[in-house]
Amino acid sequence: MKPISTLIEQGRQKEIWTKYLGYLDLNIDEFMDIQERLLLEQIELLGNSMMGRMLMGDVIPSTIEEFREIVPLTTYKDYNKYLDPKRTDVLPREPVAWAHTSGRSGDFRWKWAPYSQKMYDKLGESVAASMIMSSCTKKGEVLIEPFDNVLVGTAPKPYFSGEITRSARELMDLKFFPPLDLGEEMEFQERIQYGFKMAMNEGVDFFYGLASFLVGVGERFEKGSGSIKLSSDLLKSKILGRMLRAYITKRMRGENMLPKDIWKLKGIMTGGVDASIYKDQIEYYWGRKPLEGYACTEGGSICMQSWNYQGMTFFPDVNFLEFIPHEEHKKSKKDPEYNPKTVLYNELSQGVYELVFTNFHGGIFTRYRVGDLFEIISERDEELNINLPQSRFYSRDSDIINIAGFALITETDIWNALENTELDYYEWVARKEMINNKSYLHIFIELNTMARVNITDVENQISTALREVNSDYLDCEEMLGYKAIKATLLNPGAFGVYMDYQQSHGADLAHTKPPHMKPTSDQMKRLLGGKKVVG
Amino acid sequence: MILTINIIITILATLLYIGLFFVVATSKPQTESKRIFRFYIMAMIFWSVAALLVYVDQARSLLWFRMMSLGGLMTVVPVFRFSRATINVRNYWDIAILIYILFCIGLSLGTDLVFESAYVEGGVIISEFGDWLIPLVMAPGAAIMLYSLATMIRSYRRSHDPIEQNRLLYLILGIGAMLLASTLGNIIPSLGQYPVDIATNGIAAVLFVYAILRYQLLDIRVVIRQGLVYSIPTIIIGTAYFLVINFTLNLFNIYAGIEVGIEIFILSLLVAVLTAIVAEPLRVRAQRVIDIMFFREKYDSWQMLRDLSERVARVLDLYEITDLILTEVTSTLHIETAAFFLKDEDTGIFQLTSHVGLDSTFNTSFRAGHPLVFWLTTNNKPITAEEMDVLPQFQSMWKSEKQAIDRMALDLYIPISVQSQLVGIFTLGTKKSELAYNDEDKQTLSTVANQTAVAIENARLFTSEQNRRKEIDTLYDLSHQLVGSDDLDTVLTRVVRHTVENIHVTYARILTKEINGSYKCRAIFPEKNLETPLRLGKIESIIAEHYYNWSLKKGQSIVIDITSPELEKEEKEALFLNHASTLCLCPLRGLDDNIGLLVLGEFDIVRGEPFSTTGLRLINAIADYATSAIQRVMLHEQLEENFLQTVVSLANAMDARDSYTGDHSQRMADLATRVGREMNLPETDLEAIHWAAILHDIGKIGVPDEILNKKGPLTKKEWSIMQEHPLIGANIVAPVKYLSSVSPLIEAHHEKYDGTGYPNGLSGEDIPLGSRIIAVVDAYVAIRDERIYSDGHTHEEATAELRRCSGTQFDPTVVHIFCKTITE
Repeated sequence: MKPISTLIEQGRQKEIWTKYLGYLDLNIDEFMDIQERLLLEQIELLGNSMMGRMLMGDVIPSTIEEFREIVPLTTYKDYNKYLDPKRTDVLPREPVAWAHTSGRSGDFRWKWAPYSQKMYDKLGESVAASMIMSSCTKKGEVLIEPFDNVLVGTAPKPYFSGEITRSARELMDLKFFPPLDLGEEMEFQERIQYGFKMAMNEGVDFFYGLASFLVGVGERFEKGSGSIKLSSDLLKSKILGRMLRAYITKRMRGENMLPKDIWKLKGIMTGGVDASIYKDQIEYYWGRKPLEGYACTEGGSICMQSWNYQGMTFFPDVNFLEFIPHEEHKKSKKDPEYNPKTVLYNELSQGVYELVFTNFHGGIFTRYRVGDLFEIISERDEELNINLPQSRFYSRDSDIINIAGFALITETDIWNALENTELDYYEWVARKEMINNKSYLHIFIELNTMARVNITDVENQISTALREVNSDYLDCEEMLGYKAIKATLLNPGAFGVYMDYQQSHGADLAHTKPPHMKPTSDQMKRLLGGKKVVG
Repeated sequence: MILTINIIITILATLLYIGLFFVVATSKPQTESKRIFRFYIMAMIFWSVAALLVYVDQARSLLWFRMMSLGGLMTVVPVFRFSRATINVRNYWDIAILIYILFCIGLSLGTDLVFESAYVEGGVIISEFGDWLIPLVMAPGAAIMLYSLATMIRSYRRSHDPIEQNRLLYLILGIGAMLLASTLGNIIPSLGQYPVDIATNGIAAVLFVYAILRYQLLDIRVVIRQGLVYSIPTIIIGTAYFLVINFTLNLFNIYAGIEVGIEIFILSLLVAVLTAIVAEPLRVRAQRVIDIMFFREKYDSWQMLRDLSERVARVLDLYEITDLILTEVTSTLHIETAAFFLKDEDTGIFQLTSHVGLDSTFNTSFRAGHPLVFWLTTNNKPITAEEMDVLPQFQSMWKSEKQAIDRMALDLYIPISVQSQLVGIFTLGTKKSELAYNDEDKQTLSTVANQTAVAIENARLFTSEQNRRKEIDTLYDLSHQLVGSDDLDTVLTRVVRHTVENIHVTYARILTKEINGSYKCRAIFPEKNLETPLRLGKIESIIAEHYYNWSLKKGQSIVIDITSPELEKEEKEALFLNHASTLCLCPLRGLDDNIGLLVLGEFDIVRGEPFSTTGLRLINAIADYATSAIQRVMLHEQLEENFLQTVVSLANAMDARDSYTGDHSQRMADLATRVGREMNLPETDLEAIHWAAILHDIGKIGVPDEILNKKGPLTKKEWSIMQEHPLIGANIVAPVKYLSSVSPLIEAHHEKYDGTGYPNGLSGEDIPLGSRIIAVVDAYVAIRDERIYSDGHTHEEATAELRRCSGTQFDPTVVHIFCKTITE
């Protein structure tokens, strides 16, 4: 029996909570003490490795201040030479696993990251923490149980999401749908379908994956297309009784079944921009809010929400955290030679910051600019009495569209705005375009309906919605004196064609869809079926 | 319905099972063991309800009796499953067992093969069994139960977790009780009139629930042992009571002839009261004796606390106090390991000061910023190793710190504070009972820490003061010894000797770093028996260089233990760890460069000494003193070397200035050394003769060229000036310590054997032998060399001249040996 299962069997829930979520009880000084001590250990480890010395220079820092003063900020290009060929001899500690990014990787096909044993263990621990958190309703409540069923909707190893799931398997007795080894042999769609089928037979306790997947399943149920067909397999289902009861009740009310009528999920764990967009829909369909977390290949698990599903709290013992204030961030964007100043976790106040981290436990990423921005929404969580800064994911640095120099529009803003319109859309992308020397936010949308839609009405709807979610944009339109939104309706199936093309040309899973923000001209050309794009 | 004892107990059992079912069903979270156990209790409810109906619905006793057996049979499945779960084995046999049980149930319910009849008579169930009961139902059922019991015992033996072991003991006891009750019921049919099986099963179910629901269980062994031994006085008193009654009755019957009646009752009552009154104090005393014999832990705790604070207050020696506390606490509370880590005032490090049961070579410490120190300082209450594993504050522990703590395997850490300052950590290992520390233990031990804290702190300060004094004395002695010598070897030898005598180590060595990066052993103490094995004067193995360089690079002392898992066999040999169990490598750090290392080896490490923080501080101070002295001597030697080189240059210049051939001095040195060696002179003398031969005419620097190179005879005045050169030469060389023995040889090299020489007119043996040799050699070379004013002569002519002057100008012995040795 694995460690957590043993503790659960022995009724030591309090210890489980303290071990995995006790960091929420830390005060800021205790948090910083952990940060500083582990950084000193990391400096020593880096000092004993070739790559560490290369990053830190000839003088090994002996204090935190020296470290921040001497060691330059880094990006992936500082590591690629050693990490792409997976050189272990240059690392501070022997890695037990390597993972690569699943999102856009900029100039690199992959961004590879090595994990020492301790880092790898920490990945699993963060999954345990998120499972406990996503299922609890109050402090100290541990509802996870041995052999809980986990429906996995993420990419397999060596993607980061695959490695983190594998690490969780080593810590807890869980039943993954589909089983990890089997799922790794399957294509994405096949894996999802297989897992879903297992969930129908066995029931599901936790979901871990993309929020959009859950919404998609929910929508199919609501429209009746997801209703369950009687089959011999279904008769063997362990949740047959609940299914029949839900079926009868809903039929009597003339409603379609929703996933929450069949499955009683203990917790939902999601990450990414869409998690916050879809949280209400997911709760409606699945009966629980998704717990948001932020993790990345280079830094592992960084932060996650608490049981009130508000701000995210950073983990103290995974990375040394530094933050570049937004103004400094903007200066360094303008002048790549500029060395922006950072602040520490105990110096945060409300505002937007770029995240900079240094791996602990023998990792290699040092003062690393991952390229993501966070907004500190409060310096503590009053409701839950958490005395640590609370944050939310703001945007990827590369995804921000700047209209007229001062209105910064993120993917979340546009997505939220579209959700607030009455448009029944399938997918979208957004670009900044200059038309007659005027800045425009150009949104390309594929609608679900074939009905004729007035494009001006679409633009008006988006503009109104965007003004509500982003006050900068509101000011921007008022100052510019024109509506800075352009909309183009894509042909039905445009995204499908794009994805088919990408898959047939061997594109990686992460690149089958065009990015929401700032797609390249080539990507746009493919999406528009060969038409040229302005800008 | 008449409420008989059997019915009452059956109803109570049913209620008990229903209650247990709700407790198990509603407890969170629902684990695998609880799910299995729910099934077990349901079977027991079925069983007890059926048992009740056997008594109540006597018209259908056989049916209910068969139902009762059904319930009993159904318990076999969860017990089997449960036992398999304890060893983490998934159940492939579950289905087979279930099919077998269903088969048995069918056989029992549908045929008379197992149960032929059952009825209640006089409140007792009378049953008749068929021939198939034992072979088909009882034997396999009992076999499965026995297998389950054996599995749990195996699991108990495999487990290293005392809490888990205790839990398994509860379960083993429960299953054992069930098996015993059913076996006894079958062996002794008369037991059937008592509800033994119902009572036993009820007790077993309670034990199971307790074991499953609670994490921290009472030690089952203590519960049983205590129950048994506490009943001893009661048994003794009861027996005594019976014997007294019996004896009195017999007396009464025999002598008074009274019939047994109300008198007996009155008498019994009277005797019982009297016996109770008399026996009660005995019972209390007996129980106390039992407490002392079997439960010293609790009994002695308060006594230990009382004694300890008094005793430690009278002691001022730190080690004596800590040893005293450790001995008392470990013996009283039956603990295997315990230790004190006390704060070093200068460094703030909590150093292992005393311990019981830890590896004797163990040497660890907690730095001021260690999470444990920080936590104990902030919270000032004990913390267990398990809590450290869980609390987020300890996530900041370094891997090496975590490994050190794991290696110590201590369970409890108690702060020792004086005036809100953490001055020490009192740590304890596993209890012999293998039980975790409960709150009562923590309270007792905290009280020990609090009561002794002041005494420990006083002793610590006293010891610290003593250590400082010792340091000052040691360093004073050393500096005194080192100031008195300008010889490097002497200084090095004094340093190693002083270190061994004051630090109390097995040996000390000094290694100097050579230009090529290797290390050379320059001094050893004690030399006896160690000089050869520790390679005095030899270059150290290249394998050891890594450690030496590491110490120099870190610029601080490092301690290497023979038990260190990182050490390879070859490294141990290279570091001479066969001559010590622990090494201390202390760098000799000069102002600009590292000179080398002071290496100390010790076999017997006690309380981290001599390489504790205090010890290392003194060793470092000695090293610094030594470095300073060595540098001074080396500087001095460098000066002498420079001076010597200057002098040699002068001598060479003199050779060039004189009319001798260019290598005159060198040839003289060679010849003189050969003669000296032939005369079996010691190496030091030969060296002096060598230098004297080279420098013998250096005094001519004070003789003007016109005198020195004058072709004709010298005037009296000129001769007088010329005769001063031996003295001038001796004076030039005299300040060079290294050449202190050369100066007299130079001064006398123009003395004649018959006393007619200069500058002092010495004769015979009064002239130093080296000078006598140089005189002969000088004359020989002068005769052989071509000079400005004369041609050179042959060897034979030269030796003939020497022989001619033998006994007058030259020492005859020297001339003889010279002529014998120098043939060309």
